[in-house]
Amino acid sequence: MTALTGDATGDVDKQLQLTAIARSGYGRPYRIYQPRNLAFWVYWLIMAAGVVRLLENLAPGAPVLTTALVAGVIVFALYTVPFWLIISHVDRFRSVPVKVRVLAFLWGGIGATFGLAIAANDPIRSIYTKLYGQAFALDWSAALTAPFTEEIGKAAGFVLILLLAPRVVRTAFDGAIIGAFIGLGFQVFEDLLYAVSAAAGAFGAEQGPAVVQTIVMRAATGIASHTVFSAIFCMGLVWLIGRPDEPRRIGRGLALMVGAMALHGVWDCAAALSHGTIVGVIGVWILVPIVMFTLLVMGLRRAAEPERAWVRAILTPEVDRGVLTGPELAAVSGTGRERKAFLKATGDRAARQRAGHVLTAAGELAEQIAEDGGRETPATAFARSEVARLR
Amino acid sequence: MTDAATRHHRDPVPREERDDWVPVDRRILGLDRRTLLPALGILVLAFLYATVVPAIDRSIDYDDPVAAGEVLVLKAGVTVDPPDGWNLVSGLRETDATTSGIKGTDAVFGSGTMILSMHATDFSGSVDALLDEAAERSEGMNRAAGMRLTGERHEIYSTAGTRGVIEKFTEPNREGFLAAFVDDGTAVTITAAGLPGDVIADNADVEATLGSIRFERQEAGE
Repeated sequence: MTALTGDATGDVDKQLQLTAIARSGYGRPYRIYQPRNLAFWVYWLIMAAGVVRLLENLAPGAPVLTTALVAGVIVFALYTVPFWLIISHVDRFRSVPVKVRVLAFLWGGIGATFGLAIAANDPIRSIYTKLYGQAFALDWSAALTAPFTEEIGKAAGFVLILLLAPRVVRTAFDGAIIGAFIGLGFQVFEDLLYAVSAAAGAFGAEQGPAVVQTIVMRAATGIASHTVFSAIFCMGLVWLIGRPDEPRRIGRGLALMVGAMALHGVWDCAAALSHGTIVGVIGVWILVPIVMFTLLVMGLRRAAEPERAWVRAILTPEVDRGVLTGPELAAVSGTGRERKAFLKATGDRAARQRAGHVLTAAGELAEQIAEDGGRETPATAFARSEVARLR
Repeated sequence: MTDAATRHHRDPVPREERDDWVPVDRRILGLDRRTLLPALGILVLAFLYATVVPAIDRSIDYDDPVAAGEVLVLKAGVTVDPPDGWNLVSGLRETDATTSGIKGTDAVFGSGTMILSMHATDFSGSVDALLDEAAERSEGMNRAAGMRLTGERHEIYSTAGTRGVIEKFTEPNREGFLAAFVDDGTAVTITAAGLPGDVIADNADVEATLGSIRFERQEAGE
């Protein structure tokens, strides 16, 4: 009787595992070349337009602004690395494949920045000048332009990626991760453009310092800007439109999208809002990141729920097999806080480190199981053996 | 490891689950009909950004003539008097009050085809070195437009006595000059260009404008 019950539970768990693999899209290979998908052609068409405009912007100055260009490219390439790693760390369920991350980053850097936003930003700011005068435009035009043109431009790439990889983009969490990569690309390429523009406006020995100053300022303040704005905006967009496994939440979605745009706007008119006082500007620079990260963390906590449930379902049969314990399963599929609490409870530093390795290996086991479609393969057996070895 | 043991791992994704497969009855002109509307929507957005928004901007007439006695601020303490009646494309008048407390910015103003652009910046070298660099940079960045500097450089002085230098350039359809003034670590660079007839006609106005550039000492303003 017991055996029968055990088998029945195992069958149910296995079924739930297979369902979770199918619905999560984990481990699915992604094909870049999709000629039957109009989104594929639109994505690359706008990217091509972006490359042309990128060259138009940077090429004329390249022979005479070499220092700025080379310094900018090197520094911002290095600047990308920690942010890429941080976003990858947040995506601990590895729900977004590398190819999709790269597509998102490139869209942010070339498609959204040069293919879309740059074409509209100057004319819109010019319209503000014509309608409301020079002083108004200096104070407010950036804040009344960029949040709309840039957030929508970045989100356009997310929509294209959603159309190209509907089986991969399943949840608001995926929206946040892809949005973050789009925002990171936007941030890096926009900063490069600013650095070269700063060098073009500076003369003599000042070319170097002007670039350094721009790089330092943009790098310091950039932590708070496009990457997080887009993560919040695209997360909200998924809730606004809904997905098969992400019920539509119009209010929540709109609140996040409007919130991201509002924060972007406040950030861009910090000087005017604070009437030019240094204290006021610093206040905005502190307040906006606090509100922004609060929104992001609150959103991610909700957005990660389906991802956590899928990981739990994928690894539950491993508890039945004795590969993982119940608390380990709860930790690997839990919130960051639950994971930390689990590690803390394991004892001394060595035990915590060992438990951390086990959880990481368990995460990789979940990936392997998903990649192999829940079938028993040597690769899955190896991933399982790694969990045992690290224990 | 046998083929049988590894076969599952190497199995291709079933055709019906591949990203690039679309059932025949879901295609229009070979394209997945489910992607048509949203992808076209993005294309329309790109068209709006690249074509419609600039067209709206161009359709709005802009006339902001400079009145007699108006002064433009290029940077805190650096001013210029643009010619009366010229159109201010961008720039900040002394009487303009910004909420952000910005005191000055680059100025662009013009008359007919003649456009003057002025930019103030910190610069610790000599005015000749500044123009050398401005000339090299402008020529480098406008090579495609056929810009050629004449190589003849002249001294000019503002009415306040600040020494500047000026060098003319030509392009296939326009001509103009680059000029620079430096005063105690602050510089103003000027680019002027227009059709040859306008350059001659506006010569007196342009000379007066260059002469009106003033660098106020920080301590004098305080």
